[in-house]
Amino acid sequence: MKENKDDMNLSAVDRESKAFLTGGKFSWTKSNADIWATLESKIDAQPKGRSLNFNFGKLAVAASILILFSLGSFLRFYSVQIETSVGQHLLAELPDHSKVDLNAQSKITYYPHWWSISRIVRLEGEGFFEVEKGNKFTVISSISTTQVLGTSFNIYSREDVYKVTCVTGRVKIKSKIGTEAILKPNSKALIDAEGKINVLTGIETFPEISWKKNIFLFTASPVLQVFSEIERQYGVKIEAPTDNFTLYTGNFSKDQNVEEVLNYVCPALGLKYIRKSGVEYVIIRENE
Amino acid sequence: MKKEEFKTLFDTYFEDVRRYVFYRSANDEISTDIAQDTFMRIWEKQMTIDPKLVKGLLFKIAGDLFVSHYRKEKIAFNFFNTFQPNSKSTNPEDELNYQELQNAYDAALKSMPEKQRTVFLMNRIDELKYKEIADQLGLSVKAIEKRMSQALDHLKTHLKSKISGLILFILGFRLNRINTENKK
Repeated sequence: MKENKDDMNLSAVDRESKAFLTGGKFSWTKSNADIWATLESKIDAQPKGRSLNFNFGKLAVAASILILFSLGSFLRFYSVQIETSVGQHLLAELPDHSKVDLNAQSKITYYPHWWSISRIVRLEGEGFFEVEKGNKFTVISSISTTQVLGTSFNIYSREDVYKVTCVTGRVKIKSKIGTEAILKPNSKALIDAEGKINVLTGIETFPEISWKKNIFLFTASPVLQVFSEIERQYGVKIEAPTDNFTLYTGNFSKDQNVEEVLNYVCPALGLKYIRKSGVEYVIIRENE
Repeated sequence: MKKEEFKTLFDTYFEDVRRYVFYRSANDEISTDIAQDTFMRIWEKQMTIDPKLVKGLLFKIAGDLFVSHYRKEKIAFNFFNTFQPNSKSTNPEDELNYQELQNAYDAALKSMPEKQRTVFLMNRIDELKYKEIADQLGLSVKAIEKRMSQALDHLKTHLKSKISGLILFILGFRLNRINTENKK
């Protein structure tokens, strides 16, 4: 009986609260229009509207990509440089046991961690390469790019002069303007400053690589090139008239000292030398 | 989201969001601030929202803002400052009874647990079905039913002591009126 009364109370409350509350009205202090005006002014003040919202997941993904990228860059761009100073010869070994004989004042740069993917060496100066068989092997210098598979060849790349001499195998050269040439053994290519390739076949390779044996052979070489070579091999400074375009044919050996060499070279060209100080020499014409 | 779309969203849902926070807080100022912040947040994040879920999402954001800002504060309970119940009678005697009735409701709603009050007022004032309330609050219909019956139970207990005599009079008056309206 009591429960019944209770139930009646509950449904009465249900009805009564419906009657009392349903259909009531709200009277807000701020109208919707006022609020929209406030929001609108805020929106217009920052029209971009997008706040920086760092999502940790996204951040983690970005960080992983960055780490992978850095690691990749490290493996790709970590480089080793081998450099020779004046008067120094050096035998450098590359990761696959290819060898480079570096002449004085030369530099090679290579990417040891990237070696198995692509064999690239940058060269400044002169070097004799003995390349192990394998993937394409590329030597990049300022004037030209040289590509081989497995072979031995000499590259001379100083100032405006670029010479490649093929000793064994096949060598492909490509100048910076895009001309190409393929060298067979006993041939050499000269690339001038404009990028034109001049191939000479059936040559003696020994004069080009004799420097390895400390013998310097010159066949109709510009005299300034000869003096530069002497500077490099003996670590001296030679001041020579720059308007001298005579060609020199002859040789010297590093076993001789620098004055012996100059005594040998100069008279043949109608020149003489004066020792200015310890390692400085001035070359003048004999009749001056 | 373009400004026009945002304006449409505001026009469609702002009132609902403000009421929802009001049912929880019974405070005009807080409800307005929270609802405004909710919309500002939607704009700033430039969310793309599934239209079917938008109301639930707005309620969720508003609820979270309310909890994080006001849970620990003492909030002034001003329900009837903002909400005017169903049409008042002009009869002075009725007016007095009405005031008493309102005071009784005020006390009952104030002491009612927030979860029950929210569901109860959504059903009474917004006239939403249990299913609609359940969807918007992300709850089951069973949970809504339970809260409703708890709310009615709470109301019964709290109104009974205050208005034992009065309720009969009011009920008589109201039920008569409802009957008359139904007959029309």
